[in-house]
Amino acid sequence: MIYRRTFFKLGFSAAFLLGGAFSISKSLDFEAMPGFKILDKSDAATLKAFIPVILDGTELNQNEIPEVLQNIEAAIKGLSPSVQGEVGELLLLFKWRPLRWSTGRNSPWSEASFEEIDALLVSWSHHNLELYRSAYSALCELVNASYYSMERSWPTIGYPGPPVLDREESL
Amino acid sequence: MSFKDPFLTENFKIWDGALLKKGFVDHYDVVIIGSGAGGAMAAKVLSEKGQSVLLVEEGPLMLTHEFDMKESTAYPKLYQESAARLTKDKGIKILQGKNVGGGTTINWTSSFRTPDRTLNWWRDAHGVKGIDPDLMKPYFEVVEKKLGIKDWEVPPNENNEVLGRGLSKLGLSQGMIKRNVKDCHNLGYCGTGCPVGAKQSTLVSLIPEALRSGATLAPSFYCEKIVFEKGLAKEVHLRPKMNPKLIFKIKARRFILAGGAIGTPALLKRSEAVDPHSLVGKRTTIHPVCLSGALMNEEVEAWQGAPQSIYSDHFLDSRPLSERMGFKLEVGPIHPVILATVIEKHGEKHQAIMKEYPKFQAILALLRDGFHDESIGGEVYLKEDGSPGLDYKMTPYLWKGVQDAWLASAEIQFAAGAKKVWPIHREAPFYSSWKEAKHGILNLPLEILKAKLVSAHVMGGAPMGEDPKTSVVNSYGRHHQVENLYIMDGSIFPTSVATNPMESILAFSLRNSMAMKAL
Ligand SMILES: Cc1cc2nc3c(=O)[nH]c(=O)nc-3n(C[C@H](O)[C@H](O)[C@H](O)COP(=O)(O)OP(=O)(O)OC[C@H]3O[C@@H](n4cnc5c(N)ncnc54)[C@H](O)[C@@H]3O)c2cc1C
Ligand code: SF4
Repeated sequence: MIYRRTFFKLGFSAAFLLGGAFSISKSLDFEAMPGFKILDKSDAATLKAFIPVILDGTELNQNEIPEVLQNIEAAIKGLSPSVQGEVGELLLLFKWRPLRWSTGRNSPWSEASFEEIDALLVSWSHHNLELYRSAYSALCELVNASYYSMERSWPTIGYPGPPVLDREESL
Repeated sequence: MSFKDPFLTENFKIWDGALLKKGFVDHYDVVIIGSGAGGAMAAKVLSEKGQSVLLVEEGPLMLTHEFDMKESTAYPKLYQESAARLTKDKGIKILQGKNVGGGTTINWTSSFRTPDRTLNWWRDAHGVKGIDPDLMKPYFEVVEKKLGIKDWEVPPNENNEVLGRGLSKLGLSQGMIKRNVKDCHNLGYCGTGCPVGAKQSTLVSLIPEALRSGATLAPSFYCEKIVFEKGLAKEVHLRPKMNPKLIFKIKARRFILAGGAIGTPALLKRSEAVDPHSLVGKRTTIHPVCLSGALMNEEVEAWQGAPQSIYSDHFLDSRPLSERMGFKLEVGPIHPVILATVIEKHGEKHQAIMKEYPKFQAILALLRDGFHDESIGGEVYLKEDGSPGLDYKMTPYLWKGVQDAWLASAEIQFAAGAKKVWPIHREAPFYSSWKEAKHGILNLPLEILKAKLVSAHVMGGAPMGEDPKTSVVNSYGRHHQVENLYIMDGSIFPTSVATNPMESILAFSLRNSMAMKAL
């Protein structure tokens, strides 16, 4: 709980500084990852830590995480350059040291425990600042949409999938 | 009767920016930007008048047999910004089409005439001429005949039935929605593109007719700007998807903008079109939608069956236009990604609701914005890369409407037998009784990114009227300052329509393109 309170308190100055942080070009420390153009190594590592927390309770297997990552990459690719930039800023937020410090961390988010990530998400979801609440939406939306667009997730929620059409007849 | 796709059987003139194979002409009588409701109607009318028409569309040409009913195909291919467009403060999600057919390819087929109340308001408060209900009637009739807009005879799906049942129990008025379909299979996948060609989107109706009359379709071309010379529009600059570094300059005698109520004002701004009274992109209305979820005892399966068949105008009819915020009640189709993204939660809490998917029902309330001093709409702006954004602020007046709508929806859902009701808000629990809900809803913080808000209806930004100080185009869609420039899409409405707007856009575009004199 102490950790949450410190985060809230520092949240203000954090957001104040974010403007500056966001203008840092993403390419400065971009470490490419095979098969990916937008997500780099550290984005992927962060997302890999967040995905099991966001999808906790689903029947996601560890070995499906790369597919969720691929779907996230594809989703970002479909966005206009300026919206891609905004997602980039969101991911940059995780690389940004003051955020880590403000939450009492000195190691990267990819190394955080399940509980730490969950607590961070909970605090963002109800945060006083719209910035954090929107970061929460964006992150959950990317991950949840990527998972529920996978056909394997459908039976787990009772969705039979689209009906089979007799195309011959209808064309 | 089965559907034969005219794109597969007929020889149309198509100059595709994703292929850049077939040739093009660099001069037309009319160039139309945008192939949704407004643009397609203008293309049909003008090409039938013998004008040479180029119909330009930023999105791809996707054909009926390519619609696979999957959200993972539809959102990135058929929607603006992969169906993730947000207002500037990220508080409202905006759904719009981006494909040949625009919004009509992916919309839910609900067809309503412009309410008389709205037409009279535009005449009296905004000085629009020639739009009295009896003058507009013939245009609605033509549109309805053309697109098969009729009463929907098939029984509503359970998602709609819940709304109907609750309304009946409470003695509130309701009606059946007319739909623009022919031989509809009642599948429920209108939002991912009708896979059997039943929905009379412009893709299967007006556009093939325009092409049959000799129009050329140019899909996958983004219109970057209009170039003006001596007070007239001279040419448009088009960038093909295949190679966005290329620019094609196309001249025409007249230009019609129909890029939708975000795309059109943005194009005017990028082109630095004259705007002496600084009106372009202002007063953008969106029918902000708030939602109320319910868990029913029986299966709802809100993914299947005609998405919208029952509505209620009780909360519009009982509130005078410029007084308390009124709202229209409907339901919408619920597919897995829609539900997963509407629930802004993570982990177990998210999953607990997803598991109830088959029994999940939801009511949508569409707020009637633009009729009150505290509801002046939003503003379209340009981002750094020239792409459009929308700044739309929720006001206390609008929030009051949201709160009223949550209350009305919850009462209806409980009356229809809901076990639990959840106003879709991050901090709201599932309420077990109407009494509990009533108390709880009144205490929910009215803030963006807590309440889930969406919009699928964008209107305004280039309003019509006779006074150039308050309108961008005249009562027939012609630009006040640029004589050969017209606007024929949802942008011309001075307020929201206060009902689903497609049929209004089609009817106004029909009227206004018919009124264009032959050159
Ligand atoms: C999911 C959904 C469900 C809906 N359901 C209903 C319903 O049931 N009933 C109803 O009445 N309404 C419904 N609507 C709304 C309705 O579809 C729209 O209001 C209507 O299509 C708008 O018509 P328009 O001509 O203004 O623009 P659009 O139909 O949006 O068409 C504009 C087109 O212009 C293109 N364009 C934009 N800018 C450019 C550019 N610079 N260069 C080239 N092309 C450009 C766009 O890609 C787009 O295809 C729904 C909308 C959505 C998204
Ligand atoms: S309900 Fe199905 S068949 Fe009917 S119009 Fe919609 S998608 Fe097409």
